[in-house]
Amino acid sequence: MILITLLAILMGGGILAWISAAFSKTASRWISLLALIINLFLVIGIWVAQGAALSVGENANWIASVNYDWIPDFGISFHLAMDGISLVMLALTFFLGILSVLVSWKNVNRNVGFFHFNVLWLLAGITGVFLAMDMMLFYFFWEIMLVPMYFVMVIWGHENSRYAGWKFFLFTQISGLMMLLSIIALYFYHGAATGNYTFNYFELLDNIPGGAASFWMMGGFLLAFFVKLPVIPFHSWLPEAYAESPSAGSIIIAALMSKTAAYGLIRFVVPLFPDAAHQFAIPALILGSASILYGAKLSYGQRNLKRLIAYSSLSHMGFIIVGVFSFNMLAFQGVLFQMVAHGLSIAALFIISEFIYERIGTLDLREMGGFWKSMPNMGGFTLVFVMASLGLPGLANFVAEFLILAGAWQFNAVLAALATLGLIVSVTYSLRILQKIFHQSPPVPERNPVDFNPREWLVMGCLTIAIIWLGFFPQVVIKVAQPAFDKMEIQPAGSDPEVAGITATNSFLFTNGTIENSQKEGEVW
Amino acid sequence: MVTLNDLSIILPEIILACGAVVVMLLIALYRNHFISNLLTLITFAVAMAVLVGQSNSQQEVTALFMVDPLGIFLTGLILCAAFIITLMSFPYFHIQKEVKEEYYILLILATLGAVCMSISNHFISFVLSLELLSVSLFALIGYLKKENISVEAAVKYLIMAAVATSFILFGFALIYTSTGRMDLQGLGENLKGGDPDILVLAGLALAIVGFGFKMALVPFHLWTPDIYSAAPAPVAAFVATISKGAAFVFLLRFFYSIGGLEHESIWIAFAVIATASMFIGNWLGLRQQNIKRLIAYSSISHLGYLMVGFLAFSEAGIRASAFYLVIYFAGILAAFGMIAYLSGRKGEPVMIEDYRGLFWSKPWLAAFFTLVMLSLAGIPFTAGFMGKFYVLTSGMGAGKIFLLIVLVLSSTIGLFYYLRVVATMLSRADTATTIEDYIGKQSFALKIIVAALFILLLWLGVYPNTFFAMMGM
Repeated sequence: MILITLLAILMGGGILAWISAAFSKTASRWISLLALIINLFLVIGIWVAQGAALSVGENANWIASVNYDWIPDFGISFHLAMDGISLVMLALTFFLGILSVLVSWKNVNRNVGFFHFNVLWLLAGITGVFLAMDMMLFYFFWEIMLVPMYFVMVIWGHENSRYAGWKFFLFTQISGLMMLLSIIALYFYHGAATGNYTFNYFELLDNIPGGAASFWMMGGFLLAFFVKLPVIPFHSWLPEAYAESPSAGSIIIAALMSKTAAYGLIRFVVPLFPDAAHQFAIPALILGSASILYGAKLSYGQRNLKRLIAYSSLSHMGFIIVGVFSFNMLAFQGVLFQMVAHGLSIAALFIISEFIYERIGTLDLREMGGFWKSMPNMGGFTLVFVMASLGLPGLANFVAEFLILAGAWQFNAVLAALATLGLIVSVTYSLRILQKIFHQSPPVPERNPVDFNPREWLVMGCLTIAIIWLGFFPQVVIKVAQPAFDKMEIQPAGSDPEVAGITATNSFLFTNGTIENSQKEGEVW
Repeated sequence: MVTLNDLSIILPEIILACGAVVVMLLIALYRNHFISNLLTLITFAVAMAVLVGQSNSQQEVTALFMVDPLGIFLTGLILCAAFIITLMSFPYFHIQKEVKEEYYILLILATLGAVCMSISNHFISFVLSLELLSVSLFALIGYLKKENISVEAAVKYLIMAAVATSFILFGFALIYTSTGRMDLQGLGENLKGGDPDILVLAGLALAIVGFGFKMALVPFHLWTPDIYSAAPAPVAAFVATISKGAAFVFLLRFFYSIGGLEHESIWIAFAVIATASMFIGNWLGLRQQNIKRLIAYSSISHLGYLMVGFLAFSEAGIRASAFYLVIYFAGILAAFGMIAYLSGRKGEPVMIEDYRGLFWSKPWLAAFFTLVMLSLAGIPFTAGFMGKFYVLTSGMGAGKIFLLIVLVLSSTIGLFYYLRVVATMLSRADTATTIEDYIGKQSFALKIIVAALFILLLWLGVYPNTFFAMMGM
């Protein structure tokens, strides 16, 4: 029931925010902020209660679930369930949701009500994706994210946003439809084999497809997830969409929407198509490593701050692919942690770019420079997140990337080494952000933007605390999601003896406390 | 021999015929637009009420008609659509300077033709109802005879429809020559199993051409955009929905009962037509600036999607097609309803540019139109998605993966122009045209239609269960 409450608060809050804007713009802002804060507290409440439940063991896997019939003629149900992974992602969603409302507090002045309606419904779609346990329901939420996102992008975006919105919508729509074909194929495959025509995730897991069919079905899912993540060569919508969106849109699309794809890989692709996924592992790792390096290169070459950040996201998302397709516990933990850490750091960078844009009215890096003098506070915060982006130990991103690379190393050392290069090249573009904005000699008409106000302090302060705290105590997140991973690890073992061996090694490593070690390393540094 | 029981089965059709006569006589006595409109509405409502009361079983009425669940369903759908079009017509024609009352006679007759076509079980009854429908439509399309463009469209439709009918007649004649039968059951017994001979194949090919014209499938689609853009919005809605739906149902009945799709060359012919309709319909829609032409191309591609359900050649395929027809009717009626709503004495807002900034001046209307566009594009939580999902499922069940991929790819092309309309409504340029003097402002009927279709499009998209139950699936 709590799950429906979460969705209802967002959707109801969205409608309320829209209506209330007719009377007062501020009311609309407060309503959406309040809705998100309530949701965050609900999730934290579950998280805290979950701490006790974890020790119970087996039953702790699914924290909450609801299941109603929706379209029984097709075996479609309204089935939501939450496990540790969903919990972590929801906390991230609401946290960043609050920040994106706060960031838009001043700079969204047109149609405030409709803006907050869209933001809240967008977040509701994302929440739904993290909770849906029925394939059709998942698809519905997956697609429903698009429409509000399109509106946010086109109405409140920068000059070229119409084109960006178009491209974004088409890329995601066509890949989504391919996933729909896969889902329907899965439905018939399962129905033909068992006589039970259903879209229920758990029932589908009972009889997972094999052979060439599973490869094609997985293809549809992969296409949808690779486009949204994105991975080379499906990334061409990314720079426009990220750069042309208003700041709230950029935060949500980069920090949350791309995570729905990563979540989809862990939740659906690996358990439903274990054999096919294993066969696809090497190409996927190559794609992932290529994304890491190519994204870093493109990022380094950008003049527009938001585009620079956008390409850095492409680079970081490569790590997620590498992690997912390494098929071991360490890498999976790393992927989950990367979803959180990257969500925080990319959101922070976009927020900084927004603050700069508000002050000087441009995102062109050549127009910036020497801002450290006038805005030391902003400079300090930027430094933290630039360091996070380049993977400085002690910050959350380091833990995530370390875990992924450690996992990938066991799977394929060569490609892991290639991916590791990403950590080095990330230094180049990350430091370039700092250098261009704050240290290079100022442009001819010297600008002296004012430093942070309390609202901006609040936003950046929250993010900084979160990213440092997670850098030192990654266990907080990993422990919550661990039961879910434990359960999942049972699935892909099975047929392939070599793979089973790897899995066994990992769980051995894991029980020997690699995680604890890495955490300690973080602390030592 | 026609029995009383037979008459009771085709009572809805009889009521329609009587309704046309009553309206005609009334006009002779007393000319009043409102009363003619009201009588037409009553005719449709009574026919619908009788239809609902009928048993949902398969009954043959002489050799000519077969009243089965599919026929009853389509009759109901056509009557509902005709009812909505009549409601839409009143405010639309009320401000015209033409003589208005005869319009309703033609409307009832055209509906009668369509209804009879959807329960036809014999070549003769099909051709007769086809002619009844077409001849009424010539007059309807050119009804605003002061507009040159309407008259031109009427003549164009006259010629095209005549050619199509002659193709169909010639095809039927060839089939008759070979088999000696004209009723579908007899043909089915004759043709099922064995390889059809060359005469039958030639006849079927000619018939396919004729049906292609009627349903505006590529490459027989060329008349559609001209007719849609020139005809009055309610008539265009009629041509796009009722006339195509009726033709489709007879096509379905015809080819399913003779097992025509088992024959590979026929299946391939249809698959090519469907693929071409999906791609070319969506492709040609891309550059359109005229919203009625845009809807015309959209409807071409939608008929292509519908053919995927037809080509599944299964029980599920029939159901999917029937459901898709409902969705398609609702979407197209809503689109034309919107145009009618915003039209005024100066004419209809036919250019996409006319809608610039609509989101900010009339948010509710724009929200409705956005929903219609998203539904036509097939975005989840709208009726259009459920229809597409149903068709995809039936196609996947029959293993026609190729057609499904074509459907997915082409519908993404279509998304371009649907989004363009939405984006135009969203943009807030200074040049935003304000539509001030429009008929929807005063017309309660139009407001009801728009609200009802809005709810229907959402309801079918979010919770179609009750509808499935109603359809008796």
